[in-house]
Amino acid sequence: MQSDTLLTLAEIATRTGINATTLSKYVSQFAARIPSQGEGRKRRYPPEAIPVFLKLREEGIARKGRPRKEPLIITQQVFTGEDRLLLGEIGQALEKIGKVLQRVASRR
Amino acid sequence: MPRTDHPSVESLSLFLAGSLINREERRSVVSHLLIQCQQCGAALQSFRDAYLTSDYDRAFSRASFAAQLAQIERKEQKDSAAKLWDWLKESEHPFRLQIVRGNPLFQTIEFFNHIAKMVRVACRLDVLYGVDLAELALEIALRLPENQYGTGLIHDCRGQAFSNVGMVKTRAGDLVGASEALEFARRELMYGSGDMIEDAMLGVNTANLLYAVGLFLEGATLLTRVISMFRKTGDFRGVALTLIQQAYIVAHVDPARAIEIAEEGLAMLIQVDKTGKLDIAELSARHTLARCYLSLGEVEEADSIVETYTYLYARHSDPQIVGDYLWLKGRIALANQRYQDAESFLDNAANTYMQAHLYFDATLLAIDRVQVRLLLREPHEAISLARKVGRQLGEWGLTGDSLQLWASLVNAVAEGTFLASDYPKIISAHLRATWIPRPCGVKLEGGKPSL
Repeated sequence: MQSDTLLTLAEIATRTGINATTLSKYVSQFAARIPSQGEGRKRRYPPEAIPVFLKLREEGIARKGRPRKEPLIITQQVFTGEDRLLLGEIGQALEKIGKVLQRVASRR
Repeated sequence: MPRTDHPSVESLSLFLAGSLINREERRSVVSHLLIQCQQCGAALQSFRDAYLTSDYDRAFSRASFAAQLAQIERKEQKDSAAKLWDWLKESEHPFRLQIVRGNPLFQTIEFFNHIAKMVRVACRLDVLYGVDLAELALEIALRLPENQYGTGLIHDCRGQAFSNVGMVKTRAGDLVGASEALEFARRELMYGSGDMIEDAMLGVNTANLLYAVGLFLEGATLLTRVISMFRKTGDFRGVALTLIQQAYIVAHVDPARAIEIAEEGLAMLIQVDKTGKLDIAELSARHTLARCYLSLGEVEEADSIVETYTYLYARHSDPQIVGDYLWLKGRIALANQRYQDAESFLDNAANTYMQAHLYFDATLLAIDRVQVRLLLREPHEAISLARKVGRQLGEWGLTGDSLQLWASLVNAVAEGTFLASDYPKIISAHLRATWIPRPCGVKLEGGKPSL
């Protein structure tokens, strides 16, 4: 089940402290790894995308020149990287369960 | 794992030096230390080691004194949680919820822990009582004061409470309610402290729900991820228990592989559980092994496992375990062509399930009972039982193609083609995927049915 709130790159930048330009680079290079909805300027990202961006930053990809900044604003939504991916997988599992339950409900 | 509500390193060191002037900040550090955060405790210790000056030493004594006070307070709160429950447990469930909602005395983390701990055991003995307790724990978690415990811990507790509700509702057959509760749990944990064990436990409960709706492979795959998380945290008890649960699920699709997983889980369990406290997990592993050997046609091996570990079965009086034991004994007797014994074991298993409202298991078991009656050359009894179950399924809310499938089973029994058919597998897969919600005795009227 996807979370209700979808985020723009700018919002993700605020939450993670990763520069918006770097985020765009991640999106263009690793589109397959980053969950998103919509296309072009209307592309939005679920909160599940945040740990993926953090992981990409950890891997040091597309980072040149200036040293990495620490997050400016640490909010509750900032995850701790790879380990929180389990919650994303649980979300996908619950989505599958939801589909089974919907199918059963529609039969009734 | 960083917690967003930890005091900063600077605040801690200023607090130790007695120079934390901001009153709000000081209060926040003290209230955080009072929850005995291990990470900050370690940080305090490291400051002490690094700067063993008289000032820090004196300050550290002050912190240590605060920690001791907190310990005493926690012990008192634990004792008082037990006393509060003694007082509350005699009341009806709605009254309990009302009391907890209106009285801050019950809105403490100790009382929450006290109730949450009881849920899993209660749910095995009486699933409806388990649902009541899980709802009570959730009610407490939703009312824990955030300023006292910190945001991260509050979200962890709520996540745990929703996850428990999901677990008990899965067992009770309310799969829609379970799915919603688990999604709430997931959202709470996203805002929690990042405790990997809580995430892993939610994974375990979600895998149970996947299993309940018949998504075996998905359940087993999710558990693989949970196992790797337990390994990462060094929780080998968690690894062992999850391997055993995974074996139980895999047994439905690949018994040979399930044997390997169960053996691995069992070996690890024996290493981590020297005291035998986790004997229920050992029993689950042995039971899975016996089931798998029986599925692979190794009846003697299955029989020998059940006979060797009868003492483990005897230690537990949960209806699910007793029913599963009788069912397995019945299937072994059936495979050994001891049909009279098989009939007796299977009928006893059916009674056990029905008394405990485990109607789903009782229905799947009915297929074996029909089979044994046919093998005993009692076709009239077989048809009568199949029809009786069919009528009951209608009353339990099954409709359309499920009832048609059961009717075709009844026809196959009447026409004498049942024994050559593959009905047991077809019907169990179909019911698992379509019988939602499953009755568990909550809404039944007119007394308990019998099969």
